[in-house]
Amino acid sequence: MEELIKDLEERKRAIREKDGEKRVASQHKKGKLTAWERIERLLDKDSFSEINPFVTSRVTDFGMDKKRMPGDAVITGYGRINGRKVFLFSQDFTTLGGSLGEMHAQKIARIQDLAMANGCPLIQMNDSGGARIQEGILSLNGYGMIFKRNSLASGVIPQLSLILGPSAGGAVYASGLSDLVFMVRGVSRMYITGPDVIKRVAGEEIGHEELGGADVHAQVSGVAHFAHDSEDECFETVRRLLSYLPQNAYEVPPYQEPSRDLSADEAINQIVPLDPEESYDVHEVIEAVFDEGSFLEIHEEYAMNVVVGLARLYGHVVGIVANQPEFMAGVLDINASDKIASFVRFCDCFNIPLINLIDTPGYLPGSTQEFDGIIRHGAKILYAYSEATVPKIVLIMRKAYGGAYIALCSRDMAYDRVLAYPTADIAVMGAEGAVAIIFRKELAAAEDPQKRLEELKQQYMEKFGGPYLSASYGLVDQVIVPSETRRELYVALDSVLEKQESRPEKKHGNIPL
Amino acid sequence: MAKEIKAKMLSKILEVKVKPGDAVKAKDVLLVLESMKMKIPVRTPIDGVVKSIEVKVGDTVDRNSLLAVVE
Repeated sequence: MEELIKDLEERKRAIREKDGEKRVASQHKKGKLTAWERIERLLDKDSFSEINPFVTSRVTDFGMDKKRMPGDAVITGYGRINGRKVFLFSQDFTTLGGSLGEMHAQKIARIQDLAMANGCPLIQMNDSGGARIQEGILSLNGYGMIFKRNSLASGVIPQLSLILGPSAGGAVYASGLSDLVFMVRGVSRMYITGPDVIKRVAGEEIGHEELGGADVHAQVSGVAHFAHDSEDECFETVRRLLSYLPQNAYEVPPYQEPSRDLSADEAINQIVPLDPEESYDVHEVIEAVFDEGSFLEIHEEYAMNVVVGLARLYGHVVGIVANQPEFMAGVLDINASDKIASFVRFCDCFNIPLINLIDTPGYLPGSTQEFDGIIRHGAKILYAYSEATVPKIVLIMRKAYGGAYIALCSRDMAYDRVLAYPTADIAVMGAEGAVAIIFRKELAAAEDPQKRLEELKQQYMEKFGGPYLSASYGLVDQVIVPSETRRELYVALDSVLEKQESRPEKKHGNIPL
Repeated sequence: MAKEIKAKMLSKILEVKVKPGDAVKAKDVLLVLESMKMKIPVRTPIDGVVKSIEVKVGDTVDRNSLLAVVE
């Protein structure tokens, strides 16, 4: 027996170390951690258990029988983060470039099945050159196996994808299908076709980082939800993010003792300017209202005209959707629509209540937006909120006009509670635009059209501006003092936290895409 | 590295707060624009020195027009 145990230990050591230092050095030279180091740094100390370390490729063509290695270029297993179980895989770039072959894919698929069966988050650490060409169609089929599981697991368990090296070609879709994508500047690159192919086919010259680096995907394409300066920072965000999420769709998010009581904060009275032309940073409202330091922004650098993220309100996890008056006046455009809709659906999947902080002049006018399909994209917001059964609370801080009012504030469409500040201005459109249409003839005939416009605007605002007309219709439930926002939002949330809502039974809806 | 700062949407230039040669810190306001009837501050994403200002007060600029360069 001792012999056999010694043999087992030797085999395990050989798999883990392979030819050791050379591989570790090659990875470090690229500024990257090794697959093992990543697992150790991400998980709670000594919590990892590996599954299937002996699995080896069966393909022998092109001399692969000499190159193949036990483990087949990916480490799979499970461990704990903040004491909670997660399943993960970490691709090993130092073995065959982390390429995905048949057995590599089977290992990943098995981990996906285990994550689903146990109702635990799945963490995908990608560092792979792509399909293993020597394994041909078996490799492609492997991707199919993985993507199907990603799709079926969507909305059941949280799926997080970390891009920690190249992720190219079909491989990108395991991330494209994930709930959240994390990237690291200088380390990650993700694209369907790389610079070489682009140059050959389209004659366009572009570098790896410019084409598929962290900044591009975090700022321009919106593919990445987080961009970090180092892998360690990235792991820190993953650990923090999971502290807001339930393990699966059948649990509620973890409650945490609040760091702040519900007492009023006079400073909030001064944040939203009375002058409708003045902008401000909506982060100030978020920081003042929610539990101290609890806001974790998602898509921070993408479509910055809207701010979304997770936070805690008196200990309860909530998803915040807030217009950002300081960026593009807080208008809704195509990218903001996609950002909101995808965040709302993510929150609804995992039982996270939603809170909207509203100050927006509406949808962005213009032919570019129309040609690119703002109707189709804007519809996603309506769909996502109507579909969501989690508690949904709205606070109208200032402007809520037209389509944006319907999408983000309309009680009868989707919301459980609509609150408003005295500064709220709820209307079909801003006063000037409305007066110009209603009194077009009168203005044209006026001796001094500008003066008459101002008079009519004033009359219009007195009659229709502010929150009280909407409140008299019952479309605003309560008008609140800004300094009391924290208590008012919490009380509103508390009143609907246990609500049960059902939707008509169907195969699935057809969200406009 | 030079950073080009561009307009995010159709805007009118209300105020230019810096001039070439000024040292700026990330998030400092370079210009104030008006779009959608609102005053919108334009901030520098990076620390550096203002290399050029490409617009003047009263100009109307389209989306993606170059406003300033910071390096």
